[in-house]
Amino acid sequence: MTSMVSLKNVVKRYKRGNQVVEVLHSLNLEIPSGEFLALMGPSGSGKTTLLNLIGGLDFPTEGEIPIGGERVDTLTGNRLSKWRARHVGFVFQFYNLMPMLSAERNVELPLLLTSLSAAERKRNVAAALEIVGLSERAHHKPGELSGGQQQRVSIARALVSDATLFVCDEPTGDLDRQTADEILSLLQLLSRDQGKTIIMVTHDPKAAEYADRQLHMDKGVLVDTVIRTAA
Amino acid sequence: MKFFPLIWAGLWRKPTRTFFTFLSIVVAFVLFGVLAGINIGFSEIIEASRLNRLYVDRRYGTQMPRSYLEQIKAVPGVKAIGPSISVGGFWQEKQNNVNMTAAKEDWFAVRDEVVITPEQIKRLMTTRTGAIPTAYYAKRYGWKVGDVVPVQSTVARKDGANVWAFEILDIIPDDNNPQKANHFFINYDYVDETRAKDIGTIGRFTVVIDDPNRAGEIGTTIDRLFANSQSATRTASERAGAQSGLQSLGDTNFLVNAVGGAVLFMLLFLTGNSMMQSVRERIPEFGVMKVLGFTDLGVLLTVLAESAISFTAAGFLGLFLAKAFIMLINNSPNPPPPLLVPWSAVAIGVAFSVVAAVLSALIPALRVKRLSPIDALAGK
Repeated sequence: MTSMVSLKNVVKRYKRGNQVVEVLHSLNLEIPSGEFLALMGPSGSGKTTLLNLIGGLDFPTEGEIPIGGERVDTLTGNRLSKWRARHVGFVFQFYNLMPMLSAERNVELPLLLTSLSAAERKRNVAAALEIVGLSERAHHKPGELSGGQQQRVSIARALVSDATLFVCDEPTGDLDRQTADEILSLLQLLSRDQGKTIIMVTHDPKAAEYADRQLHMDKGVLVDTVIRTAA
Repeated sequence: MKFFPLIWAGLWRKPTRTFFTFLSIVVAFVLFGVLAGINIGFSEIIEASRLNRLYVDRRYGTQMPRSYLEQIKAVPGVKAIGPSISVGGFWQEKQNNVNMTAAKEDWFAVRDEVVITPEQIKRLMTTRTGAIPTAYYAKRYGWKVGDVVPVQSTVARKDGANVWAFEILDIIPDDNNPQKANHFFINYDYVDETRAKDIGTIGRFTVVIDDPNRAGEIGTTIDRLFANSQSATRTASERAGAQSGLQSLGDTNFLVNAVGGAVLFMLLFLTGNSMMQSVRERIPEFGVMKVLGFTDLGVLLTVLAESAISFTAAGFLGLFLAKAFIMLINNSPNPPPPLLVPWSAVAIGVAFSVVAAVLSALIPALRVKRLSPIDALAGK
């Protein structure tokens, strides 16, 4: 299987006042295309920093990050924004939907950056909402939806631009067990049936069980790998 | 256009705040429009006044004798002269004012902007109780040709009565006069011979000169002629008269600009603060937009567009209301000097609203532009 995401000797340092803190220490990682990966570890272990680097939201201090054959660490400004819009779907713990927009308008957001016509956008939005099972709630605003439904809208928003890489930061952290299971099943389905590469940060071992592989991080390094065996 | 729902949604994130901000912009632009109307109206009066026309008025209380006519006519540079008497009055009700001008035939030659034919002038000169009003009066009071109109006047008749009856001989148009052409022309000889006092005197000589550059010099020469007489004169060019008349209200131009400037300056602060607050509350939302791939410039333009929509819509509404308000004033029974809000002023106002929109939203927009998506998501 070809690598979708590679991290080669990635180092990330932050400046806090006069202090320089190294959050990731010479990290190497290969994530094959279509894999569902769970990143686990205690707070401050560097999971979210790693996720931000993979999602093109931050830059490594050292090292290379080729994703889908493109060196993301060398992209800046508008080129990086456009790369994110084309290739990455984001799912957040608190959904991060626009409160004044309906579900379908929220899902449409990434498509506004494409040259698709209004009719094509509408068609794609309807398809994405259909996949997450929210066609009936297309006109509802986030405030009128449950947490699980809002997270489904967020997944539909990630899906709609046909992103190949899904970056999920604690996607079930704000949901009850049953709803979390539904969301995780959906992510699993997207990975298996649509070949999406999913990288999910989670604290929840039960959530991590849905992933093909679990990576444990501590103090900026990968410490353990668990590969799920087929049930 | 595809971004409109996003921008619109951002605008109505806090409907009450948006409504009151919108309202304050509307009020500011109503004020801006009315002040611009005053300014433009006054400028029009000055522009419409002529440099080559002088008004010779009495300096003190005594009316000027008719004999001045020949002496003024003899002053070098004087091309034509037209005597007249202004007679105030009202028709039926006190608020129905009628400004009568008892004019000699020569007067119409020096006031060539009055649209009247030689035949109409001739009829007026030969019909002692005849009157020719402008369409303004005819429309306002419903007068028709042939009507006999009794006007109560401040000028008493020899018989002790104050009511003067005039037959409407014709009605003349007033379209070409930027000022309200509320003329009511009557026969000079009839008024002069019938009035109880001041017989044989003139209220004003209107003088046309050959060189506008010599207006001051000719005016001084005329005034010198009568300096030691009982009826000393004061001569001023029409434009100087208009300017000094308007200046008697104060430096209107300065006042209008100062008040307008202060209001719009306050508006910038108010809306700038409101935009800043609105943007601050939505930092995570802008963060999401950046995460999804909106460029820094794209997010900046979204904020500016929100401001521009609200400013231009409110600005246009405010200017439209100002125009309507001024039309209402101009059509009132006793209108002030004409106020104007031409469409060019509306266009300037709308252009200004766009500039104000950009200025008021620039700081929050730049802040959003500089946000890192990670910090923005964290609401920092």
